[in-house]
Amino acid sequence: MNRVTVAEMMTYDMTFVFENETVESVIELLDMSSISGVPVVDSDLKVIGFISEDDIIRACLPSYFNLLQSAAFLPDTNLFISNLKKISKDPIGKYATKPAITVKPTDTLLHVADLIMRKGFKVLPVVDDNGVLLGVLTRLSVIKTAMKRDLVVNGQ
Amino acid sequence: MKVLAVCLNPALDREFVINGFTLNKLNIVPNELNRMTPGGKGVNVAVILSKYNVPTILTGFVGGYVGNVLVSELRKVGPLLTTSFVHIRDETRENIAIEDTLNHTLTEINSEGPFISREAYELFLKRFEVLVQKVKAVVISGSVPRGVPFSSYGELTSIAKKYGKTVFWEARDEIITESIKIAFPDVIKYDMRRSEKILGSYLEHEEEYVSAAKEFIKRGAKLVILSYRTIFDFVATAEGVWKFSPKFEIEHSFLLGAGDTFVSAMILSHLEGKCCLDIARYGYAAAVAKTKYLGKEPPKREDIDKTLELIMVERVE
Repeated sequence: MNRVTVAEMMTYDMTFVFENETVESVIELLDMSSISGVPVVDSDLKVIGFISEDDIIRACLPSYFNLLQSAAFLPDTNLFISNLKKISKDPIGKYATKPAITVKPTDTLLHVADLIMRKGFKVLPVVDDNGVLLGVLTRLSVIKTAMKRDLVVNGQ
Repeated sequence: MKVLAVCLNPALDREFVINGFTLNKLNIVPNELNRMTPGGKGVNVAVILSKYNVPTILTGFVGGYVGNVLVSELRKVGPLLTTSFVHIRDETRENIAIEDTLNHTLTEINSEGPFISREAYELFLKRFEVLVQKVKAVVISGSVPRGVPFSSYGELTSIAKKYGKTVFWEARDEIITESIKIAFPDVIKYDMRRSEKILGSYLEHEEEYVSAAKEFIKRGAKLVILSYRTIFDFVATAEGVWKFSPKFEIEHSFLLGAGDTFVSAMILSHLEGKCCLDIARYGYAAAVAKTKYLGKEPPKREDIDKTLELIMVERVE
């Protein structure tokens, strides 16, 4: 099964944003296209980051949030709402994960499954040898591809 | 990637075959007679190119529920077709056709299509400039949605030309007339399905087609194809003007998809190193090969090669 490659599992879609586009416009894009995150590219289509719903939520929470055991310790949701409004016109590049963790079309299922499990990624940008965006790999497509494959026992 | 296909106004084509279709009554469609396919001229060209093993990026605008269905249908085409759309709030066009083979009727219901805001159009232009650098040729084909100027083909072509790309257009007169004020493509194929109007005038006689074709070459196009009485074409290059005709009778009811096949085959031939009249000949042969059967599927390469012998290329100037 580890011979299954990203090329067989990826989604051949290049929806992307530039780092100077606003947080507000990215939220709008995620909503309209029903995706949870999108690659951030430069003018050469090279992936320089990745912005997900998680990144945006994290940007709206106070820096000490990670130290708390529960959101119940936060004074109220107004803090989250006012922070979201404050950052809505900011460039998305400020909150994107940089550099993005990317995979190549030749990477194996085992390699991406490891990344998904250890780092908790839902979507991974797929790039060529020069870092240029080719598409994305979703967690669900990895699971669906694995489901369709026959078991390989002793290389047979 | 080899080709960037632009479809500014894609559609989801729904086809229902209902024999004995009746108004004011519940009409049930069996699942096998209910089809859903991606549509729009640029989409069709991208799909055909990917079937000819040409890696293609398809761009334009998609929106709403219909847009998401369209994108998921395009996913089924295969790994040679990559989508890169700008997402909008308005719904993508939906074209519904109800075919009744008992009563010989065709009822069509087409949605008006989306409105594209200036902001969405500017986002698209920025993305186009990045994508165009990654391909060898660009094809812009089909109608423009509300909000997008008729001159958009010219705007996109001037960006593509900045990076030395070969540009193909297939469009109707209003778009071509406004767009050539900004930039000229390498290849123009007129979409004359709705009107035989070229540069604002209605053409009738062969001589008028010949002079219109020459006019485009004079203004900067390398290759011009003007369809004449549906099955013929006037083709002009800097070397002259030719009339293309089939050597056998064309079945008019099988013409669906022939125009998109023509454009796709020209691009294919261009990518294989052919030039000018040769790419037009190949495109015409592909279109004629497509008229031998019903359906949207493009003809096989060997059928196009055989059809090259079944077309007549006559120099008229």
